[in-house]
Amino acid sequence: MISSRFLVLLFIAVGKALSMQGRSFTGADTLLPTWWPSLTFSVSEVGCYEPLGKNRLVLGARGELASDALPLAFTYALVSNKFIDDPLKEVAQKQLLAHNRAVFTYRLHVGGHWPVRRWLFQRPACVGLALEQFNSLATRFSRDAFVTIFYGNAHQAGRWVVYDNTSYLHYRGHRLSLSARQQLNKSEHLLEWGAAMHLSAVQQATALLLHQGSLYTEPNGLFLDASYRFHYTGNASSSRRPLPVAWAGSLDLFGALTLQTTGSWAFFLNDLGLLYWNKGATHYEADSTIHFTGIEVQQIFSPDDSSFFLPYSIDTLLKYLGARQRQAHQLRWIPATVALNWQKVLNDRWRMIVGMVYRFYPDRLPLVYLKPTRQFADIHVSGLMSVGGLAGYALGVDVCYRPETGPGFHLSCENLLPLGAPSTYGTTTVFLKFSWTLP
Amino acid sequence: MRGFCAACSLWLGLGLLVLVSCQRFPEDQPSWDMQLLAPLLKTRLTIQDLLADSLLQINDDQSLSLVYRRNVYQAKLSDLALQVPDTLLRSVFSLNNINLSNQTLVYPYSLGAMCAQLGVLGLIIIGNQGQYFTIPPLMGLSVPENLIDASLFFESAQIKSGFIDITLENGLPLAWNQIVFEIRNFSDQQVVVRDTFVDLSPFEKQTQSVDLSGKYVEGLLVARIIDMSSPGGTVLVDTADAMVLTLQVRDLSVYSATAIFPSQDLIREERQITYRITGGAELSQLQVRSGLLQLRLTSSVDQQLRVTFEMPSAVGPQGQSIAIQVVLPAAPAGGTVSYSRSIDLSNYSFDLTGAHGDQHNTLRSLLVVRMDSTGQLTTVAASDSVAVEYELLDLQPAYVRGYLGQQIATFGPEEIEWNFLPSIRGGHIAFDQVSISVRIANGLGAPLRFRLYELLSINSQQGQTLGLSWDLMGKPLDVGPATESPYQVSQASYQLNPWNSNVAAFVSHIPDKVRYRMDVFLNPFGNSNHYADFAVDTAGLTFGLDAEVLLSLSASDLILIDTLEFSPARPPDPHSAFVRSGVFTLHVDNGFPLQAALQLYFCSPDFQIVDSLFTSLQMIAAASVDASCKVTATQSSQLTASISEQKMQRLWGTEKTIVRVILQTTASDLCPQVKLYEDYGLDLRLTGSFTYYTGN
Repeated sequence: MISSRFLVLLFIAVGKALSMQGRSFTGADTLLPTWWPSLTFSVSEVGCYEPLGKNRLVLGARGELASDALPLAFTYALVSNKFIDDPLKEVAQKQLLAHNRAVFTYRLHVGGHWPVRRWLFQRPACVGLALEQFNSLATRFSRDAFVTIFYGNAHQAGRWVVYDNTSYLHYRGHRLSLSARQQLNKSEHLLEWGAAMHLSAVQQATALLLHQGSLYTEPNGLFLDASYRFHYTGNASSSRRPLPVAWAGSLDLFGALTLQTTGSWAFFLNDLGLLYWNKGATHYEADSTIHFTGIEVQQIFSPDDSSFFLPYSIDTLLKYLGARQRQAHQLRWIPATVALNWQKVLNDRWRMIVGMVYRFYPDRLPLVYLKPTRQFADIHVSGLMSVGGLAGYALGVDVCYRPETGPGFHLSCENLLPLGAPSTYGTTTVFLKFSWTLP
Repeated sequence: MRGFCAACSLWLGLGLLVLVSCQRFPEDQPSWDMQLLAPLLKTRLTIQDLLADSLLQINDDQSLSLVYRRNVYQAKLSDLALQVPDTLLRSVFSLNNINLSNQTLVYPYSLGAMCAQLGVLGLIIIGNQGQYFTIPPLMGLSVPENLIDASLFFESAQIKSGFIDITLENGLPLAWNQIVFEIRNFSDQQVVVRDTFVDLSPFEKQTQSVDLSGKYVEGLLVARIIDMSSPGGTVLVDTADAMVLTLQVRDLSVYSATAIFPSQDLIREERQITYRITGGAELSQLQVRSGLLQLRLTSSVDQQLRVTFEMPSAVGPQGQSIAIQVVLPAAPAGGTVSYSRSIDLSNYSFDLTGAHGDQHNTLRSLLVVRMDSTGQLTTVAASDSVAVEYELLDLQPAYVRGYLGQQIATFGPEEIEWNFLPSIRGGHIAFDQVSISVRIANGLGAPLRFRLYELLSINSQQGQTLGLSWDLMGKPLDVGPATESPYQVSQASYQLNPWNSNVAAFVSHIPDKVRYRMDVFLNPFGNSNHYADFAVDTAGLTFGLDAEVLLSLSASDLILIDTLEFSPARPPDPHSAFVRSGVFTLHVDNGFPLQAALQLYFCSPDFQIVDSLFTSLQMIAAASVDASCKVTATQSSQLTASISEQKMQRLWGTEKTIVRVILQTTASDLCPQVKLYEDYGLDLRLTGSFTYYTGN
């Protein structure tokens, strides 16, 4: 909390200093307002008015719970560390597909951007600095994997269950972002481009890639047959650990072209980068089959302190799985996002935005959305309709109050359907941003 | 409406979660229950696992015998007769040999001096100096007293023995018929010497010795001629002529004296101490493992003394002898001075054969107390003494040699544990072939004779006893002596078998204790080794019972109970995973020709039974046997235990498990007894179908 307050004061100070430069912008040297307010794409934010030529401080948050199979009631219980009872599991199981995907992310953001008079090509630019706390979890899993994990293998006795292509990536930490964007303002068009660099200090990062996995449970439990090929990377970190266990570096690229006749086209490429585990990371990999008939006990009358009925530990399990363990640094791509959007100003009050966005992991299909916006003075109200992505289809709403100067806010939800049916719909987002635009 | 409210709260919660609770993730975790079905444990139990390996013996046909060795009685050298008692010897040596040096005093008695004491006649004689003068016969002459001063040698002495030699040399030309001579103490006027010289011719010398024993003599004496008589005659008068009196004291030994004593040994005494060792042992050699010699000297002599104490028969580990030399200072008047010292006797060797090598148990010691001459007058009395105390403490023999003596030691009645089949708590078992060997090992170099009077099998569980009957019960069981070079323990073994005893019934009685009573007779034939017995402290004697039972048996309702420090479930830590409930199945492939009923009781730390594993009788079927009564195929059984959540929680508080097995051989005319072989075993696999809480 102290550090956040310090950052706000820092941004105000930097902003005031930079605004002394930008106060004399005029004509071609002036940055025009834009409808693509952030270099990091989100359906909620596109189409919201952003005066680039002014100093702004921003405090925002975005969270997402999304799954193409798991209902929100289930995933919410999961991420809020509740006890998952059988009715909740049944609700989820009914909607399972052969392969399922889920995402849970949140991001807390504090930052600001300021115009500078001369930058690249001796042209004005808007530079930004932001600090974020983030948590990102994405997974793909088979129906059998869900049943095994949440119900146990007793329900699957007597048949082979398959876990192929089950994967998992979770990392969380803090991210420092530097961004810059410029405009080429011609009479017939406005060309915008921008880039952002992110450096993340990761407090926890685990990744599982189960390329192939199957399990057979003998109906009386006399043996387990398993076949698997997996890679797992993790660490034993905690939030109390002072040093990061991994680092991440990524780029955001943005380009937009606004034509007076056809509207505005924008392209986003976000989170193009790598996650790097340092040497303390533990890496397990195995490509094997086992026939497990129980742990061999040499001295049944002199058992150790472990529980008789459950003498397993993670180490014991990995030993029986024949996993090779090594400790070395690891590198992995961060799931990137690509988005393409088109916006057309219909009249003084209405605008229309159409776009497509795709996360390379774990989305099954691109999300195609339609976002009509009605402007009431400084208030912009949008509806959101989308198909694809993890939601299948979604209906959302977006309210943005963005005056020329002074405080503003932005509240958005990309899918309101779970409000009425949390046991049916599995995807929603919440976006909340407060901003302060200096004169 | 309810769904809408739930969704709203969910949506708001999601927002709050994003804004507020991010730090909780992922330290906390969601939790749920899983139904797991899995094999848990597997093991194979053979008879070696059920009984300690050391008890089992594999026979040629791979059948098994149970061997149980138990020492009933063990004793070492110190437990037997050879205990050297603590010994305190106190000797007081009086000064019975105080000597004074010989001294000689010469007193010339000139004619002139003599005439001066003779009155008128004396004057006439003096008047004829240088002339011949006819002296008339003299009768009844006496000479006045003359002092003899010997105080340079002693002031006084109470004479124990000694002599004074009185020599009278007549230097006068006159013959004497008789001279009566007397010497008295100056102070008390006691006559020390009165003697008479007769017929002393001119220039003749006569000597007489006088015994001074018992007399008190002072250093200042008075000598006097009481009576002198002479026949007279014509003589050339020369007043310088003299009679010379020589007094020589010699060989003076005094009771007490104040004198200048010469250097002398006041005490020189060699002593022999003979031990009495119980059992009549007569030892010629003793090597000490540990022990102490405590020496204390006390003197009342008013004179510095040099004391030497030696034990000539002791030799230390480095070949050194025990010799203590100490200077005792003069004792204060009426008081004493003391000196004490301890000597560690560890590894000392004692020759106990005495000064001439023909004795036993005898220690020699020598004490010399010497007084140096100081040239000063000193009073020493025979009542003064030097006391010597020496004590032999805690002598532990390491080796003894000689005759160990004859004695009988009785042991028992005493009960000892007999853990032959420790887990069996009830039922009946009959073994086919049983034997017991009475094993006697004698590490002493002397023959022993045991007599076993009683051996009682005690089955505490059933409260029953059974006495061993044996042909040799109460009869002598002899074992010869161990040999010394090379050292070898003598062994003797006596076999108990079904023909000379009820040994089969004794073992089948399944004793957990036995009670015995016996005695051991050392050297039953007396000194048959002619003083060549020996014993070392590391050796002793052992009386043991070796039981060997072929595991060919018939059992009915044989109850085995064992207790394990084991709990099937621990109370879970907060947030940790645990098993809620489940059904656990024990799959048994039995390779033993025994059927078993199994039950496990889970107990609190103070052995209060909290719950049992099975709610109904669960049987393990016996393996099939062929005509030769050997197992041909294992038999499978499943034992199922259902543990509810409540039951599992009850088990959280348990710490001990009692295993109760009831064994039974399958009754058959063909195989009344079944033999157990090495390859027989029990394959156990535990599977569980259980509800597992993942923890959070």
